[in-house]
Formats: sequence, structure tokens, C-alpha cells
Amino acid sequence: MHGFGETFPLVPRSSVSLSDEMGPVPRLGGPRTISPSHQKTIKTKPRGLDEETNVLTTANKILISEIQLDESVWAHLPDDLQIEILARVPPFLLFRLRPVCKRWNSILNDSGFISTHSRVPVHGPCLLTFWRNPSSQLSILSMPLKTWFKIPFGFLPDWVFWLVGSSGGLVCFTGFDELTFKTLICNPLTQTWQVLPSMHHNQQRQLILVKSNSGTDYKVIAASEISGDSKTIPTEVYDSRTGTWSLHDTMPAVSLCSSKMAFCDSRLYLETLNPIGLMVYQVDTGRWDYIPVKFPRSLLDGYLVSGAKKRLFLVGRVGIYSTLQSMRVWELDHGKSIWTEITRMPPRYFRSLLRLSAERFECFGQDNLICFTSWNQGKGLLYDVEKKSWSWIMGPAVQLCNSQVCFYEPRFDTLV
Amino acid sequence: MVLLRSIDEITVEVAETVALKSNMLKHALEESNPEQFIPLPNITGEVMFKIVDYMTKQTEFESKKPQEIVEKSPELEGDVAKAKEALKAWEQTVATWEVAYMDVSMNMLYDLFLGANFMDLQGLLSLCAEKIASLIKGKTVKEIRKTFNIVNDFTPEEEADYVKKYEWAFTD
Repeated sequence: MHGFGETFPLVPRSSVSLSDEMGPVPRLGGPRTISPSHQKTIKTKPRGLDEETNVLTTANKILISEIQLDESVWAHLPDDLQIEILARVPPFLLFRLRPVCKRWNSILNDSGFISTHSRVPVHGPCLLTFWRNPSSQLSILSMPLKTWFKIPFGFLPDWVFWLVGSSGGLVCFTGFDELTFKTLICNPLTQTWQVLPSMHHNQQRQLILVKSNSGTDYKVIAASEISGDSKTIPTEVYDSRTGTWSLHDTMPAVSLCSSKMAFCDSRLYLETLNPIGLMVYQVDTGRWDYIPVKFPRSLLDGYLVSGAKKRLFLVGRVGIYSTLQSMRVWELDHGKSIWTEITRMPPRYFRSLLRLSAERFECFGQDNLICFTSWNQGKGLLYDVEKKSWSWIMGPAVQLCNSQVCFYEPRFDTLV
Repeated sequence: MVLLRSIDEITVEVAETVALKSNMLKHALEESNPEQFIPLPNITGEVMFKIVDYMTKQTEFESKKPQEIVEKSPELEGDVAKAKEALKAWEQTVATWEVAYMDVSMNMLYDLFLGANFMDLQGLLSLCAEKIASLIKGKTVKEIRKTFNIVNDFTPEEEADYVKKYEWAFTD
């Protein structure tokens, strides 16, 4: 029997009709019992069973809600295919599968599986929140699953106090252990952690954690001091491959207008008031440069946010009089060194996020998502730069109130 | 042209470029006589058509994929933006087609999954695995064992230990 050309869809001319009127079509996969209650929805039938020629035509219109995994179909799935499925289960839910059986538990521990799992496309945006008072809590919101997970926090030392940020599944914390300023890197999912050695100038400083795109190595960049002292100290970079801090260029004495930094395309950006513009630290050369960029007029706050693919955003309110204020987002045109407005927060979101103009808010971002959190109200608002859409972040307000927040990517492969 | 024959003796002809999407067919073609058909001993006709449908559509999509322009100079900025838009639109088309393609019954999903594995079609294997993984989501440990016919070899104490250790993940 031959004869199908290259035009599709295929219309078989064989003696077996594959449309709704089912003749007996044998199927493979080994012996499997099919309970009578399922026969109505089965389109094919095992060889050797009674030839039932009037399978209901509604079999084709199986409703999405009826699609359930059940043992009549899946009981004989080969082991290696079970692994393929496990590799695509979202990271948080993998923990629920550990008690299934010893084999699954050991698969989930296997480093080969872990690297396969980590190669599957990223889970989707997650937010990590952390606070110390009155009781410590580390929570992660998985936006794809729309679920908050309270991660047990006891594995970290008591002195951990500030959340620096997260990159590639790793999270950086700092704190004072007695009088010593310390930096810690951890993976909340695997509960592994490591305290970094002291910096050459070990004091509370602006830090940023950057994981490399390829491999499991990471860097921590220590720029200026938090205290805002006029004394400037050299920028230091910790490289996980060497396990040491190296000294680099000292940032020229400038007046920084905000303590917010953004890391984008191997460069660390900070805003300066005098001279007006951006200070840029190049990790590859270890040097600071100044880019003269005028800020938008009447800008009240200036959050620097890094986006995907070398995009750098500036976010803040414009307008001194509270009644005329609006929240805007600009993007840096790297070639022309100017900020170009890309969007304004719709007034209803703005009024809802900040009921009073004096209310504080935080702004941070990753991969072309910009998040606004209102301190007092515990609300979170998300702007998707690519889709140009605004949406509220669901979840109990208490998780976002007075807590430090950052974007997080759940990964198992980055062990500390 | 390549001839494929299912276990229920249904044959289908596919272009060689389409057939090469499957690594298994690629190896088979290198070894076999081009006049003869390639048997697919684990796959029924219906599943074979569904898989061939996937391979054909993928080949078609690949041939229509817009070229990405690497930014070289400011004059090309407009072209780069247009190329990005075109690529996004193409990705959307592929994604939409895949969703519709994967709207299948449990039995077909099972057969497709095994079929994609047998024919070494990574893309289809991923699609199936993702769909099944999403269906595991709502299941309890007991239900998962029942579905995949897995024997529980943990003692009740061991199992309780795990559940306690990871109780934060069981919130719902």
C-alpha cells in the first residue's frame, strides 16, 4: 500500500479508516487492562479484545477538563520517560515528588538529572521576599504557579540581615556578625550556603551579585560605601572561581544621587548628580567611566533597572506637585546617551499604588519585567516591557509589606 | 522520498528533508536500501500520521523562519527592529500551532510520547513531557504512585520524614 503525496493533511487510502468510525485498530505498549468505564473515551483498542465498531464519536471531543492522568494509560511508562517528565516539573513542585518512591528520590538527587532539569527553559518570574522583624521569613512567589512558598530559613546564620539581590538562582545576603560586616551567598532551594572572605576594605558597601550566563561561577561587585563618606575606596570584585576579592579602579569622587545600581551587559551603572550622568564600571577592564546623560526634568526618584539584552531603564515620578505627578519609565539610548520615555503608569494604577505622594515605593527589575512595591500597603505592580502590560501581583499583602524584595530564578544546579 | 510503515501495515511517504528531522530515521536511511520502506514496529498508523504531521510542519516552519539581523550600524536600526518583530511573530505562530497540535486524548498523548522517544524527535518529546508534567501538578503522592504504577518502598516513618522536611512545598 502506497501513495500519499506531500500534501497534508494526510488522507489515508488504506483499508483502515482513521476517522471517527473506528474499526479495530491494534495498539501497542504491552499488556494493559482498560477498565470498562474508560472504553468510551478510547480511540484505539488493544488487539484481541472484542471488536467494538461503534466507539462513540464524542470520543474526539474530549474536554480539556476530562484530561486526567490515570493508570489505565500511564501505568507502563518506561523509566527513562518518567525522567523526561520529571525534568520538566517546576522546581518547587519537585520537592513534592520525593516521597513517591526511593527511585524518584534518588533521581532528584542525581547531578545528571539536575543539569538536565536546569537546561529546560526557565520556570518563569518569581519574587523573593525576606524580612527579619518580628520573625524571620523567606518567601518566594512563583508567578507561573501563582503560589507563595515559605522557605525554611533556619539553615542560615542569625547575623544575616539585608537582602542584596539574586542572580541565576543564587541569593546574596549581608549582615554584621558582631562588628564584622559579612557577605553570604546561598541557594534557597538546595539550602547550601557560603560566607565570602572579607573584602580588602571590609565595611558595609554597595554590593551586587552577578552570575555568569554559562557555568556556575559568579561575581560580587563591591562599589561605594553605604555610609556616603567622601573617602572613596577601590572597587572590589569577588570571583567564585578563585574564591578571592581583587582590587580595581576607585570610583572618581562624585556625588551619587541614589544608592540604586543596575548591572547590565557586563557594566555596573550608578547615577550621579555632580557631574550629571552615569558612572559606569566595566567588569572586563576593571575601570570606571563617566557618561554624561541628562536626567528627565522634574524627576523625583531615579531607579535604575536592567532589562534583557542590554536594555537599561530609568524609573521614577515626575512632577513636584502631587496632583500632577506621574510615574514614568525611560530607556537609555546607548548610542545617543539620552533617556527616551517608553511608558507612563496609567493613573488608576498610580493612585492605587501610592495613595499619598509621600509614600515610599521600591522599584526593581529583571528580564524586561519591572516591579513596583508599595511599602505601606504591601501591594506589588508589574510592568512587562515587551508586552507593554500592567498587572497586580496577587498574594497576601503581608508578604510584601516592609520586606526586602527581588526577582528570583529557581535553580538546582547552582550549588554554593 | 522515504517510505514509512506502521505496525498495522499502513504506509506513508515523506520527503527526505522531513524524515531527517527524526534522528532514528536519519540513521536508518544511512543504512537501508532507499527502495524499501522503514518499519516502525512500535507505532500504529494513526500515531504515525500525527508524528509525520509534526515533522512536516516543523520543516515548513524552519524554512520560513525570519533571519535575525545582527546590529552593525545605526542606519540598519529600522531593519533590526523589523527583523525582531518578524521573528517574534514567527515564534508566536509556531507556539499557537503547537498548542493546537497537542490538544489530544490521553491515549494519543501516551502514544505520541513513546513514539517521539522511539523516533528520537527531541522537539516532540519535549512538548509531550511538558504537557504531562503540567498534569502531574495537582496530584498527591498517592495519586502519582497509582497513576504510574509505582510501588512505595519507603517505610511510613521515612515517608513522613520527607513530607515534614519539605512541608513548605506542600502548601496549596
